[in-house]
Amino acid sequence: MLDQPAASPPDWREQILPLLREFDAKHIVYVPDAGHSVAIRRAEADDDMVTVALTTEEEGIGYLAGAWLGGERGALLMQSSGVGNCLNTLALQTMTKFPLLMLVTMRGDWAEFNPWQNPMGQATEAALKLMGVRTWRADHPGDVARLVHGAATMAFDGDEACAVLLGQNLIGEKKWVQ
Amino acid sequence: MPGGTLDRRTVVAELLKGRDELLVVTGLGSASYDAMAAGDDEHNFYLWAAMGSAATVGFGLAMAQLDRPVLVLTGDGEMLMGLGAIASIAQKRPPQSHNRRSRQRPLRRDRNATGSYWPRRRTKPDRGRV
Repeated sequence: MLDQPAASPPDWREQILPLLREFDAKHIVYVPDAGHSVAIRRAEADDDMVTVALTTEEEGIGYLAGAWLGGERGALLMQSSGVGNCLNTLALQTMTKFPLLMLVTMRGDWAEFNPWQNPMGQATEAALKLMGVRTWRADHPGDVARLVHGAATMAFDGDEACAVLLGQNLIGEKKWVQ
Repeated sequence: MPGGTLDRRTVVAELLKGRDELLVVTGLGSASYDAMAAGDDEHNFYLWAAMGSAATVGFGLAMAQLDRPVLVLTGDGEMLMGLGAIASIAQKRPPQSHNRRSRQRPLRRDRNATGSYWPRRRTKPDRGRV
């Protein structure tokens, strides 16, 4: 009907966890990050999923390798700064070829207020590629589900390391409230 | 007489005797070589780099195989390089169930001959560990 409002597009934040469930990614490992908060909260509330807060992001790589040895899948959720912590450890995936799916919220990427985020944020994609990780960027809300689906397929079907970089303008500008 | 040193290779062989259902993850270097020297086993997973990751690999394995004991055998430097893993593991303490609907089971602790505590994952007869 002409007088009905158009359906609003699904919030990309709400799409992530159902997608991970579709791929039986049971173990959600993460360092707490605002951009992933919806997915993390939903995973915590889901009795079929396991959530683990890590002390540093590279722990997630070893954890997911171990879970895979034990027959189960998962995904690592982190911020771009955490990618820097992962670099040497990514060789574990190269040598053992377990499926490694990473969802990375970007900092130092768009309207960043904290310049200390810029060095690693600007280096994130290149750094991942140097370590043999396949990367995709999502900058529009409508791209997120498609790209996460694609990366998850390639990770779990190809035993590869795949990362979707969620652009900072998806998360929005940080507004400080007095 | 107090003090003295343990021969690492002998200790590892002793630890792995009668290993039964034990899953073993080893850190790079001597830990891997010692475990291999005790007898290669299809339930060993050896790391040869990714220094700092042995405990997290064991952690993930334990969380996916809640009914099996997991041993992480590693060197002091390797453990120090990923010391935060101890905090992450303490968060979940497998095999305490991560499903909040299940009954929580505490880790069992038994005092061994030297007076230190070995966390045990289930009730088993003492294997005469060093």
